[in-house]
Amino acid sequence: MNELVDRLASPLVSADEALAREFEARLADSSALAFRVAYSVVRHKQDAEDVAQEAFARAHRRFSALRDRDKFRAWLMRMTWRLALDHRRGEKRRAVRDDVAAREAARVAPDGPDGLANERSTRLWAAIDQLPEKLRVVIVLAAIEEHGIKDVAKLLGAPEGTIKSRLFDARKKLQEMLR
Amino acid sequence: MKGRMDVERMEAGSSDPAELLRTELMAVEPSPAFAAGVRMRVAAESAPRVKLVWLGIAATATFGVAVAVWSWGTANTAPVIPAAAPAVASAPDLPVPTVSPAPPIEPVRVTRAVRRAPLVAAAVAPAESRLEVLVPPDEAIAIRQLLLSQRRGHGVVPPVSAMQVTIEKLPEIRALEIAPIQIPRLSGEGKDK
Repeated sequence: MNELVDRLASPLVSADEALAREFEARLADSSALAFRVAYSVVRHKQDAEDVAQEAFARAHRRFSALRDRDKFRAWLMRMTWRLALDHRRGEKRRAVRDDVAAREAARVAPDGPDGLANERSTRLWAAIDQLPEKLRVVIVLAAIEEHGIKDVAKLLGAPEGTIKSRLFDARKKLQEMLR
Repeated sequence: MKGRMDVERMEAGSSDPAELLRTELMAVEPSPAFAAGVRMRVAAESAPRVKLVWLGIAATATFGVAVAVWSWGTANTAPVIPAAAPAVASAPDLPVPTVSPAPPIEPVRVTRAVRRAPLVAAAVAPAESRLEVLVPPDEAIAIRQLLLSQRRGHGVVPPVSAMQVTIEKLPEIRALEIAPIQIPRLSGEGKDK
């Protein structure tokens, strides 16, 4: 009986195995992207990992529709960004409620060893936070894994010209703010 | 190597904010346990889903079997044959017998009708009643030929004359008078005893 069940289920199992292998490949390929996208929003390593893991778990649910590598990365990036924004909003609400200033300070401070670097980093993130979301996502994606304009356009599903102008605007605004 | 270069570039006081951002982001990496965490989440999510999938498969299979059984039963029901018009002679002016042979019935093709035999019988019953022609076969053939020739306009059918039936008077029945039979005794009968 068990043999019969195994024989009948073997095509399903092999299909599942193929899907699982593909998902593992995507996980290895895109985990840094998801983590960094999440980090650029939440600015905390552990929270960024939680957010990125949640995004991967959601991607797994829809993986049969996301088997294409580019499609997967674009979907994952958008999902991570959205989840990270939600997470950050929730954290802000919590921080206001608990009034834990120290927590916020620790969050903003990066893991760099240098005091000057810390200050520069704090200013940079504060400036990035002030950017409109459209510009922020473009400059963050361009900074991750040395994405070119074409890659960012593919990830965001927008024309290259739009990405180029948004990137230019974002840089200009950041320079003004950091001057 | 690249990270160190980034740090050096940053320390050198790069003023490009995009470059600074790149340095910041490239300095952070997911922990080695990141992939394991994803796998754990996926496994935790997929366990109830597997159960749901099997439940769905079972429900679909049950529904499919039910539909198959229903459609099999529907396909085996013989089509209802429409009742034919009563047999009427086509030439009323002719003294042809009013009973005309029913048109030949096409054989009804019934596949796998064994289990639905009562239904089939009920459906076919009216057609069988039309076959009950109280005309001997040879006469039926003759009538059919006659009607056919009449329809085609071949020949003139001679009028059928009334049969002359002569009834002979039966002889009168009289009572028979039978005289009692006298059996004479044989000589020497009864003396032996």
